[in-house]
Amino acid sequence: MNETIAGLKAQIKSKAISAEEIKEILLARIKRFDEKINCYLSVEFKNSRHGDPLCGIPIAIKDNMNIEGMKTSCASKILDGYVSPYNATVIERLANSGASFLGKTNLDEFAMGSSTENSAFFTTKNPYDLTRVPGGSSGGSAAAVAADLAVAALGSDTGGSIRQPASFCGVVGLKPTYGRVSRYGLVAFASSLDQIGPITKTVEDAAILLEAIAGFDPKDSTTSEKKTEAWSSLVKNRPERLKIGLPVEYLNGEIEADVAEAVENAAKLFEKEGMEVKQIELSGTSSKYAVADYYIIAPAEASANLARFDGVKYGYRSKEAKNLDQMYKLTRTEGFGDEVKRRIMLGTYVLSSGYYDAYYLKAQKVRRLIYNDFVSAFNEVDIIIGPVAPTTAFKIGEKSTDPLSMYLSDLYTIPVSLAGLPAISIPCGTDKKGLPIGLQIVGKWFDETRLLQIANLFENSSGICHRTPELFTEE
Amino acid sequence: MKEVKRIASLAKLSIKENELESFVAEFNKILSYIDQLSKADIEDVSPYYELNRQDRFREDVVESYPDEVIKKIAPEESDSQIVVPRII
Repeated sequence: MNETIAGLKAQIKSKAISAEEIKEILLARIKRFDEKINCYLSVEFKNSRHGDPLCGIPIAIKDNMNIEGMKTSCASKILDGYVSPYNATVIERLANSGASFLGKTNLDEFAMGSSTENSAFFTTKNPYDLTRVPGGSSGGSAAAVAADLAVAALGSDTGGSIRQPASFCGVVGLKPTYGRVSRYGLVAFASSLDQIGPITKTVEDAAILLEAIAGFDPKDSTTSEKKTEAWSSLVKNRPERLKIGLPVEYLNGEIEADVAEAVENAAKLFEKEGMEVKQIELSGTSSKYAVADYYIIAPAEASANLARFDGVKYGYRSKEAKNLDQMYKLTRTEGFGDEVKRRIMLGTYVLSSGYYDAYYLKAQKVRRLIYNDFVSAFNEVDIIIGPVAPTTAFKIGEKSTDPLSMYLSDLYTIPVSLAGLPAISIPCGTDKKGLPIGLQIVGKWFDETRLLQIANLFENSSGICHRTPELFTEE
Repeated sequence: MKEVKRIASLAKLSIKENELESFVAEFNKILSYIDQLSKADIEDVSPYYELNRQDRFREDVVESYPDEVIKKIAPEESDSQIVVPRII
């Protein structure tokens, strides 16, 4: 069943398979294999109209996006019992494009984490090595696609939450430009950074899903009115000779040798394909300060966004409370997990009276410098490449007791998020342990077209792409 | 430690006494990492604002969910009205 959206679509058109049969095969695979990796929080099939362009092909959805009539948990106890009364815009758009829905995938609670270990329910495992994490926070979506328990999925990315799990699971993960895809109905974590995107087996499939979900939405005032493109066909065009920048500092830091080598090999392959690859230097602001900057801005926004979980209108409410203030405190204390509490505390602290200038305002200024860094880099080059993460998938438990070391594992994805740029993670090799390595390709603002084309060129030219791990193949 | 309790109270959270010490230690570690931003040269830099930011207005029309929705999702309700502990 190692099939792509593009492949299945052709088969459905030629009547070689029906959407109904695809559904049965996937549900059977989930029943048989999901207990090995626990990538689904709930499996609940929802049909839509089965028309073009997605022909009824089922998509898995990260469980922080609302589907009408289904539970949305954000992998948190605080949303216990919540069934969404509405559809997120991306769900409306996928349904209008003829997709069906397969179920909701696991994540770090409220998308805060890099391993899915912060899920209140269970940790998802990496399909290539069950003792390792799938990455996070969209670890359930990435593992589901990698293990072939979904054809494709949606994830959300705030500081790397689509790209890093895609990298750890050997699949494709696209974070579009901030403002490209509506966030309406995505449970907000950090609103100036959150962006929904596809997790797929191929670059072409990512283009197909982006085309289905992108575009202005009156319900999200931060969406762009820029016109969307026919990415599903444009992706196949070979890009002209582009200038590709490889930031020197990305390969000089603390990065595993196998990862650095795979990225260098990717650069060589681009040269062989006629691209001009040059070393560039980001001024240093982005590499030196981005993670610290992010851990002011994202928790600050999170502390405000998560104020809505107070036990009043929906979700969990503590039974112990005798008055309203106790109800808030007990509900939130019992309902949120440790990492979510830590980030709410951090955010409350940096926004609290007397600290705003020292932290939040300063962080917004540093964010401007990081943004400017990329503006100057993109004056020199068309595309930037580098690693997604400094390592391949780490062991379950390896970083979960040390939040700061977990935060630092996102050092290559965070600067890109702070600048609002589009970026894709595609498989570019494996390390000595056989674990997938991801290549991060970053495009100019709203230039998803060339980003997808250059990624597609790499995929075709390298021959490296998703393969179903042995544990999940039918004997 | 007192400061952490104050922040927790602002955030409507409480941290258990037996977890307070480890929480404070972890919190301080993260704060000292974040504090490296004080070394960044930000003189004359204007703060970042969102890329596509523009004010968009819509009609100020109330949209409400049908009563069944409140019945279904509210933790406690009576006649489709949300019930909370007494406040006066």
